[in-house]
Amino acid sequence: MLAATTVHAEVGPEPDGTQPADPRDLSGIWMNDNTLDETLKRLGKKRLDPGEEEVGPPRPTARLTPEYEQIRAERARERAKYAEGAEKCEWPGMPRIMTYPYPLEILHTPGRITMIFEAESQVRRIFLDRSEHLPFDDLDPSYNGDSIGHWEGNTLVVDTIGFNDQTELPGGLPHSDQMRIVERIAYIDGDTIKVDMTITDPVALLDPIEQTIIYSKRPDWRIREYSCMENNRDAPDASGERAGGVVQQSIE
Amino acid sequence: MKKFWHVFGALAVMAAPLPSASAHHSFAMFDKSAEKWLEGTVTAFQWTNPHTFIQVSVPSSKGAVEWSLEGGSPNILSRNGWKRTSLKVGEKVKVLIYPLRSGQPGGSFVEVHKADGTVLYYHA
Repeated sequence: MLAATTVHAEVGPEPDGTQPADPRDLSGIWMNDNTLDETLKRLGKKRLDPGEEEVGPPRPTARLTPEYEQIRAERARERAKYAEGAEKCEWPGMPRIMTYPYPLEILHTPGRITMIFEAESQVRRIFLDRSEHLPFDDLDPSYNGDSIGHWEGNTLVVDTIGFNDQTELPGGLPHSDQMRIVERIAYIDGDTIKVDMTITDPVALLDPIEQTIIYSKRPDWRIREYSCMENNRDAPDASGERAGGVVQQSIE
Repeated sequence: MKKFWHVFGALAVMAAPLPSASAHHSFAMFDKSAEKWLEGTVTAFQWTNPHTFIQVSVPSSKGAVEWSLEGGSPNILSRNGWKRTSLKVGEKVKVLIYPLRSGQPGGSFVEVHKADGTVLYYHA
């Protein structure tokens, strides 16, 4: 297995020289500029064309330790038992929630910054009022982990640990409960922020994963509800087929 | 229109299939190279997550076939101009779809043309 250094690109609005009123106020509704739908809008396209399965930049992926390469392969074998398109509902958790194709709302309250995600109505609480993570006995493994943050100049630095192993890394790779995610969040102009994320995992990853995510402010949007459990006709049945994909009596 | 720039980051990567940009499943089960028009009557419009569905009854020589046409979430479609009231049971529609590769009567809707001339796009 050969590692290579390559370049990962995110597309965002060119900084227009504007400045936020308060560079330490991230409140508002934000949308990832590099989702499929946002990319198509930017390209002025109304649909995917043949051969354009993957619009937008490739997500970074990384080398796994031999143990986690086996876990990846085993999960892939399990996944292959499903029919094409069959998909269960799962919480994305960290880090995937940060690149999901739905917006998030950031709230500031004393001692805390809260991210409310449209996807699955998930919440991340970033504690500014403590400088240490929860003690080990209280650090329950979770989808979004335990986040503490502080300001370095006008950059919010967020450190997150305490994950379960139910979520996926970019590229669909597995990780362990030792994963750590560091995010550096700052404005690049008056209505655009950039998140530089570094993911390390001493058990699963041979190299850190670095990714940049760009979000634009969407003052006209509102956060809607989204629960995958509502009507998932693509859920696999016992045989792995899409249980509700089509109506069975096709000829009346 | 705003200008766009690229932010680059150097990364250690290996060759791997690209993940889907979709939140739920990928588009791989639909054949984008076999686009097809259907004309029929809406029998249901499911404005639900993780996917919307338009059920369309399409006449054929052997009787009507009910097609299950999957689309984006209400969250995405609403930002592309759709409302939960955009389609009504009983209305006539002409729909551009990417059919299921399986050959079953289903697919991904791409454009929905209503009798009054309105066109609704999955991606606006």
